[in-house]
Amino acid sequence: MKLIKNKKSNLSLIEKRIKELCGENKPNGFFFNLTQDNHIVKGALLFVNEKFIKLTEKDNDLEEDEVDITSMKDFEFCTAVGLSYIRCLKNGELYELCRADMRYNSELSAAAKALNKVVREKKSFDNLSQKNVCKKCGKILKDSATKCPHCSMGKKGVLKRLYMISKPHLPIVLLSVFLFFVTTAIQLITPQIQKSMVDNYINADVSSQNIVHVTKGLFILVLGLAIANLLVRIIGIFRNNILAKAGNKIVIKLCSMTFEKVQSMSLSDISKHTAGDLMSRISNDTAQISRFITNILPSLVEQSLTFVSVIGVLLFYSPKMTLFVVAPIPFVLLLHRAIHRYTHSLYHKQWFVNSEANTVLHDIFKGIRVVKVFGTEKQEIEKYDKAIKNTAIVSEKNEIIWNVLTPVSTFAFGIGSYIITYFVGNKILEGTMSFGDMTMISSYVAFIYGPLRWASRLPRMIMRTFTSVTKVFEVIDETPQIADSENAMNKEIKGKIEFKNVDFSYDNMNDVLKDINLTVSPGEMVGIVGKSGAGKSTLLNLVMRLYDVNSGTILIDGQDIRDYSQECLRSQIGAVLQETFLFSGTIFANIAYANPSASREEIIKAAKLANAHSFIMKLPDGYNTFIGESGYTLSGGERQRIAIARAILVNPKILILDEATASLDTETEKLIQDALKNLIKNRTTIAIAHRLSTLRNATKLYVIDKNTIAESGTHEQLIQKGGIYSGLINAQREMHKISKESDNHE
Amino acid sequence: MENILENTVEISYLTPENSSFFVTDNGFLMIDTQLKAQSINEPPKECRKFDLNDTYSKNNIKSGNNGNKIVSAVIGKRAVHLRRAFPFDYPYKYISVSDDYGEIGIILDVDLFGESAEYIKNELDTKYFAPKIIQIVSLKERFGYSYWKVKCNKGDYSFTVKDTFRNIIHVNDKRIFITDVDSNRYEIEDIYSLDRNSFRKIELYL
Repeated sequence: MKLIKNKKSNLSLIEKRIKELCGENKPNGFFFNLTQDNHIVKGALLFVNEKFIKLTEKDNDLEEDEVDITSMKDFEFCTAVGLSYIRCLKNGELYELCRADMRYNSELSAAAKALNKVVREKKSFDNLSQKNVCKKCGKILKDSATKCPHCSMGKKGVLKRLYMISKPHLPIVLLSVFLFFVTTAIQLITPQIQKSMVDNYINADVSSQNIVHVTKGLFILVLGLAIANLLVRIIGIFRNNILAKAGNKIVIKLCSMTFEKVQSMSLSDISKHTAGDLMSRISNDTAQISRFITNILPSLVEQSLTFVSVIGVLLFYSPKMTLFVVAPIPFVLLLHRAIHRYTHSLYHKQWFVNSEANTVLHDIFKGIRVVKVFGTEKQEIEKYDKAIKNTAIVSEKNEIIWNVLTPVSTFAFGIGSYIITYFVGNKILEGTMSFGDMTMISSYVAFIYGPLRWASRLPRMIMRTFTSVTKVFEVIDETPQIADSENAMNKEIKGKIEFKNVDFSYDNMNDVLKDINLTVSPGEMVGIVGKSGAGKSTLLNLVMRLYDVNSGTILIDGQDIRDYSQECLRSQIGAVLQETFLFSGTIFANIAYANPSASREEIIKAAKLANAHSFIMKLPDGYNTFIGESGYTLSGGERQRIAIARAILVNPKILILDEATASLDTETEKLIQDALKNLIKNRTTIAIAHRLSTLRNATKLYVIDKNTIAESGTHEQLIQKGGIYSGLINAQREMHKISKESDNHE
Repeated sequence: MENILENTVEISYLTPENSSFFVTDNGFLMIDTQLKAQSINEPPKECRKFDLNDTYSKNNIKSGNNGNKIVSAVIGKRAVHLRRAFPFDYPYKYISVSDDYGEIGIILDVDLFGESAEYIKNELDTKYFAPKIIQIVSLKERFGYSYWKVKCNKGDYSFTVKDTFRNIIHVNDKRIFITDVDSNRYEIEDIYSLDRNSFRKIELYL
């Protein structure tokens, strides 16, 4: 969000003042843009010469105050709806320091932290102006963004990309262009043959010549026409074949490039896109790009070639006539341009309503159990009806527009030909032109309208391609937030995990973990306990390096986790999560997922250790049972045990259990507990569990509260301490009692 | 059968009888009530901890339920945050009032508070920020982003919207909210009262 007003003058008052204050140095401070009563201003809080100065420019008035930071403390970043502000205690009273809309959100949040450091730790104010800024336009980027949405790839960039993709296939594209030359040349000759046919034979004075000779000549000409036509077709077949091959190669290359990129993106990168969005980029947009390179681009060459050469020929015969042909063209193109905006939006709308209808459908099918349970089928039918009716309305509108537009523009294009017929007809009557000339000229004129009609569709096709290119390359160009360092290590780990002063937040605003310090020795099992939302799962995500820490370090075997290659790290970490995802495929394939080279015996052993073997053997298809969306439905406990078998098979050095036994009944839990016992033997294990009994094997427990470690120690130590953990234990005992009593009542 | 909601859940209502509101010199809305935050969902952040010497927290620290250091909640005078439960439907009704420890209660209708109603309304208005679009100067779309230049009640803005269709919320037939890439929001109260040119520009997205 930016005020346009100030664009006229080069520097606003505030910018001038900042220059005066800071000179050539980069200003140290941050910007804001609202007053406490939500008036738009240009504001900055600067740290100059050990002093804080607040500048506020409103209606071409600049206000300057020195902020007495020593009277303030407890700076807090607060968010409201559509704005955020920093509040603090000033002489013991609440005070609002500054306020801004969402654009400055992360700046303000960082500023509040820095201000607290200034006051509490007497540190100097960090330079905050070194923000994630777009190099092109200087606008602040959102934390997660790697690319400025304001100046996304321009047309130049798109063309460069297109060239890059088509470069390996350049010989084929060039060959096809050459073939276009050939066919165009052949096509240009045919009207000449037609002319000679009419003038010399059909319309000639036959009686004066030998009839046999004439028929023979005519036959040769007709044969020539046929051969020319055949040649054009054959060359066409050849050309289309090689182009199709090249096109397929391009699609495959682009698809795999995009998919590879998506796979290498970190979780936080991926969660920026929706699954559907990524899917359509991988499948639809890449196809559009290939269509452009192998179809639209060569056609563009062909059509312009035809157009130019036909115009040339016509000019040669009669410049006046050429004018008649060309005269209506600008008007028709203008007509197309005028309605383009409208039709473009209609296309857009059509695309949108279609996707909406699909979303509704997808939603209903995904939630079909909820629909059935609550008996809301009618409601859902109505919802879908409405969506589909919307599609119908829009597509009807679209059809009508095109059905009117196409004939009208075809007619308009053709107006020239009527004028020409009249003109040439007159000439024939005068005797200055022959019938053959007329045939030839109308053939040429017919040629010229093809490219024109095609050209009227061109902007739309180009637009669509450009959009696709930007979409695809947005993904391909993305720099992954979690990247391997240049000399990333690949080595076997022993399993010592250390957290040193780790801070982490997902959005750079609200700390999820703060100052975490913990050590897990190799082979030890550590339990993490805490309320939901305390940051337990986040801690595990950090161990797996699904996200990188904001400050502090995580060490594995004394080495920073960021020094390991991600592949090396994850291949030695096994995880059993609360939500088990099984891919559609056989049970065998699912267990072998992370270790496809495992032998059948190993798979059975792993399943046995995971207590899964016995239930698998009860299935008629055994390990070949097909599971997944269309296959056999497993219960929660069964899925969990397959996940455990999967983890066992990897033989990980570090094992992560995130609520692996939650939402299971006691009996199943017992089975899984036993399975886990087998798994965690001699393995570094970090486990989260709501049911504290699950953690009875843990050598040490950490209680996370208020985003940091509140207590740690063994079960007995913590009980004795009588803190949060003992409170949780008591609460669970109570619960247990109640549920037992109610069981007895039943 | 008895409705399950009848005896199991209770809403704590804030009324002029049990609480009053005032504004500090620095413009902060404060409450004075003996009610305390009901459930402490989010523990107070470190910097929110009240200093015992501070004017408004002196009398507010109550000892926690089991006698240890945990401060459960405060009573008396303290700053409050307001949230609209139904921001689109009732801007001044069903207002959730919370202090740093959690929700204290709900105001059914701000107007019940007579003179202090103005304070509450003002607080609400300044904590919900969405410039109202009066005129659309230009609207261009390129590569999946749309670029807007508009006149608002707060001045002129230019902003960018990604995936335009999905970032327009239709509150009802005529009222819409547009969310830009920075997650700022812009409101059009009545799309049909826009001038013809503006309407034509936005029509494509409706």
